[in-house]
Amino acid sequence: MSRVLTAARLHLVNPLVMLGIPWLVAGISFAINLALFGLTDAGADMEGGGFTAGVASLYITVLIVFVQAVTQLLPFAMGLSLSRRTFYLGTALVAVVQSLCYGVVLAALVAVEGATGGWGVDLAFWGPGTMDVDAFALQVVVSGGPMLAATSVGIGIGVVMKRWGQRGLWALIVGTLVVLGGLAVLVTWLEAWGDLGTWFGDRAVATLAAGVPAILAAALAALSWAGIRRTVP
Amino acid sequence: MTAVATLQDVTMRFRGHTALDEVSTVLEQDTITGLLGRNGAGKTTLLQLLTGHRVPTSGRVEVFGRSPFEDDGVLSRICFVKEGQRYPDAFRVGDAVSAASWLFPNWDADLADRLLTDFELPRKRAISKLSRGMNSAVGIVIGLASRAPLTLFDEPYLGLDAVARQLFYDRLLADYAEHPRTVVLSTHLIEEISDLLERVLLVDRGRVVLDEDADALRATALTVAGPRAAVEEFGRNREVLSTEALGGHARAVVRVAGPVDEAAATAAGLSAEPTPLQRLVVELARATRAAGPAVLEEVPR
Repeated sequence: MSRVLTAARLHLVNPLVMLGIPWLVAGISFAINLALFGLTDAGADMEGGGFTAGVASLYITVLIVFVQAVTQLLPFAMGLSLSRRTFYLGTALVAVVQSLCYGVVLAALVAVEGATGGWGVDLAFWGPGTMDVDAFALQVVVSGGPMLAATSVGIGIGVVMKRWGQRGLWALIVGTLVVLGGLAVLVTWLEAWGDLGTWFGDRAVATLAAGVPAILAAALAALSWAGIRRTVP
Repeated sequence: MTAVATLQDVTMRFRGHTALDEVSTVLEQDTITGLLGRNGAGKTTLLQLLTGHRVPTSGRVEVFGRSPFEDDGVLSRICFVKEGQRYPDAFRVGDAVSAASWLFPNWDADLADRLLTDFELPRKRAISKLSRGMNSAVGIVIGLASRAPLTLFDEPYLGLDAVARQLFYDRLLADYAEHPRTVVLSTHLIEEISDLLERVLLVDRGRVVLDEDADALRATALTVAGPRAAVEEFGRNREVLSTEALGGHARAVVRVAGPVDEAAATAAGLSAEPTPLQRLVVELARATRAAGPAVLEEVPR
């Protein structure tokens, strides 16, 4: 167990990269949005206040940080005689704890956002649209769930890059495109877009923002584990 | 002697190429073994098997009595310093050394500090900013300070200048004397480390050519020189590894049984001296490839 904790600790050797960069990027995005909303009345023009997808920058940056957490740290960790399993568990631990903490921080920011009338300019940045659920505990889950999905996608991409290199990454991109494109064609052919929309509309936000990412994260965690087992550093 | 690591009939195949072919060897406790061989001979693959970084296609690898693959109990007692180890971009020298100190149970922080000073490595310097040689030195510091019961150095000296290499050999020997452990040094620079070695493991094209005690190995070959006829006569009933002839004078590396042969050479009017390890290893590798007895040949000068 202590080696798993040490593996987790390796990720935090440079907290400025691991934790700092995502918040720096999201912070800049927030500042830009705040400035735009302050200058243009964008928030007041929209019904129910304006929202942007700027918070996505946080999720995407976290994803990239976790790609690097695998590609850069795995060779080093194995160079220090950590097993792949221990490294994997340590990384998963960081991903789960970090997603939870980020969920709490995001929920707090959403609460402030609500209390200040969207930072005084009707800006819904940290909890845009239906992502704002008006209950702190639920907000933690709704904001933290996609974060867990982002970390697991990052870990998965990192494992593919480490195990199969550049070729694996291209195969992943092409494969994902084919699968998603195929699904789109299938749904269109079945004329099921309307039904699909209704189905999603009927789900609670908690199910969509927490349940779906949780299932995605679990599936990707299993795939990443399968991929990392024979990775040569 | 206790075996720290055992390879039994180990074969490692990659797509269309056999890196190791039926390799069997034993690493004894508290010895320094030189893992020698040419580029692509299979040295790195062998070390990767010992650290569980790879799994053999067939055969058995055991370290401290267990398979090293994904076994943290075994792995925590191994330190593998490999050529071109990658460090995370943002890591500084101090970060890498601290991380190593968390993971190796026998870590000696004082030794690490002294080595960092010796190799003039600033703790605050980013590893990505270091020269090739200083990068290698980081690995050497970690390898020595880990005091791991099985320490593997895979060509750890790349880019290091002669002074720093000598420093590495000196520190290794000094620390080994106080804290004996099993060390494997994979290298091309045989002559530089020949005094350090207790065992020699020579691999060529994935096969073990030689697996012997270094002193015993040195005693197995003499370099004799003198009149060509006398050299030929001396080599007649012995295995001649190599010869060079120039006019009436000849020089040969001959496998011998012991001091009796040395006396015989002197009696025949030949000068006899021990063969340097590097020369011996080169000739043995060459002889294995030729797979036939060496004959006297004229060397154009």
